Amino acid sequence: MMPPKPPDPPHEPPEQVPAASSPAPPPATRTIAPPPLTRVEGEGRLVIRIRDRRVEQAQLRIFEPPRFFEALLRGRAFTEPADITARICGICPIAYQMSALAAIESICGIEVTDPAADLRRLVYCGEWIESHALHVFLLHMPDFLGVDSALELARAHPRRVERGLALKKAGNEIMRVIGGRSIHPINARVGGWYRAPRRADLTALRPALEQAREIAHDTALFAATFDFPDDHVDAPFVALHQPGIYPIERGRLATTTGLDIPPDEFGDHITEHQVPWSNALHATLTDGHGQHRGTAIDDSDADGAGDGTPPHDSGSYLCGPLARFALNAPWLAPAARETATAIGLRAPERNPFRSILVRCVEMVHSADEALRIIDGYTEPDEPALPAEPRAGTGHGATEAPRGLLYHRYTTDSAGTILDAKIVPPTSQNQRAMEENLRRAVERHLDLSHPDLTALCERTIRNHDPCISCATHFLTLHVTRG
Amino acid sequence: MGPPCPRQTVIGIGNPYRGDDAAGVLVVRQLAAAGRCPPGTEIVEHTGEPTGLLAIWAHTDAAWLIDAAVFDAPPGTVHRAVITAGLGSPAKLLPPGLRGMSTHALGVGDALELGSVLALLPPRLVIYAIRAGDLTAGAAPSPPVAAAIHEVTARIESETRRRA
Repeated sequence: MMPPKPPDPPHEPPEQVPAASSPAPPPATRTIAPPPLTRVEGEGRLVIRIRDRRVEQAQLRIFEPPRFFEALLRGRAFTEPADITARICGICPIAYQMSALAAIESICGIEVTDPAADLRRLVYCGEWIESHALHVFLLHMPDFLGVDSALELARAHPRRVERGLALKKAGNEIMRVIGGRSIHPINARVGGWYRAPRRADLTALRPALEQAREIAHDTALFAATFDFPDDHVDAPFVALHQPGIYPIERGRLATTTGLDIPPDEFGDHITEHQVPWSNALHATLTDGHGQHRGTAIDDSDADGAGDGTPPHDSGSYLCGPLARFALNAPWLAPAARETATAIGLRAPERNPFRSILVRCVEMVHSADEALRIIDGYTEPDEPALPAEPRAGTGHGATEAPRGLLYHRYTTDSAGTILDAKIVPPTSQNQRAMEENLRRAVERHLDLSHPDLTALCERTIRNHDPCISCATHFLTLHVTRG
Repeated sequence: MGPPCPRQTVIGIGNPYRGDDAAGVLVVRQLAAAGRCPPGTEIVEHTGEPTGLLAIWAHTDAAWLIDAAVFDAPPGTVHRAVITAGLGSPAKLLPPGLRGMSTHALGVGDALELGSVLALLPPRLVIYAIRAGDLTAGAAPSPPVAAAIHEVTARIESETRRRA
């Protein structure tokens, strides 16, 4: 597979990195602008400007090119969004397929039931395993073990990385058996599946999944020994919520500030908008009356003189593993609850550095849940329900590995897509990530430049951003004079 | 009774819908269609996802991997590298287009480096990189790459038969 040539980034402030051994105190005015982020998916960089011990600017500049998916979906058939949107991401294609199908099926007035619905939850478990394993072992764990790359980690801890790859492979195999292939699966369709797997095909996955559950638990125990820097995010958490079951492929939207709404009301409470420094839209949470709900921002001067401006709500919020865990921990699978107890993880967890623990617990959950579904699976008489096109608007929300993924489609009576809206988790998290970054810098201003730079990069990596997902959209205004 | 036949695997990497990026996949399809490799040779079309590659390599004695790449040579140029397990990083033997890492997915280069560090490479791995020219979606392979596909197919047929 040919990797695309990275584009020239549009935002490239000059890099002024002082020597690591410089004995002088940090200057009053400085810019932290490391090279593009490593060990994240996609292309972006950080720019932090500090003046007189006050953080003037903390930006996650995403220069990954916009990809215009919402535009190219217009005019396509209602049967196509699942396959087209899967191409938004090579790591979480199932998430796009499931959110698209939920939205389209709501227009068609059909509800997929078991066993086809169980297969959707099972293939999603596979994606959670492979995506979380990728992040935990190859992107995040190096930060805690003092190495710069997965290769260095593999040299220092070969057995750990080997087991991590086995864990990832177990997830990929679920996606291959049910979805047809592990990258951009091809078997999902409106109403169910093109082909239902044989029970023997699923049963053959059991040994690898039992091993995956054990590896994930063992990894959680290992990760619990890491040194976690102090950090705390105040932003409201947003996730699907479905009492009795840890939500993956369905549920209502809930927040830690008390909101509990169906996916249809997503647009009444979450607004997207563009910022000049990012090709990915930002999102803000409101209470339904246009008032922001989010992290309190105190704009008073750092020297305490104050200008009387009261704190305001920025509208930022966070979705993803921390949010899911905060809102749904009681409904983790039994093995996952045991793992959480064993490592002293309790909900809510608001330190993003400890998100690696939550991802480990979710991998245990996914493996346990996958085994439960496989053991109860019976082959359906028909792999899919019939689906006829209708005019209407449909909404779909599922939990991608990185968080809430929302789709909305409007079709005409022939099923032609008239309008599409896709809101990925990394997009939604940008504002909260930047606030997290700002606070991290404010608390560590006395660190040397290299150490502060490393901390900033870690702060973003904690959130496992998927930048290709976040840049799926850009509005293009053409003015001709 | 003679010595057991070595396990051999031929892996074609690529996107069959993206012009010259189909090269690896087309090589293995030609090998499979005409039965040109010895019986028992495993012939695989693959996306290049590393965990899958490592799993394939773990169960074979000799592997051939074919992929399109962009490097400093005319389109259709064939670059061949032989990687012997335990003899250091394979990266130096590869053209840049296979060695480089993508920001969007793990690929063949990652698999080779991880395999080398974790001692998961097969005892012998032959890499064929075909210099791509036209990567247009929906296009057929360009003439020089189509010629390279035939050349590499013939070479792998010969090499697998010689080692069997």
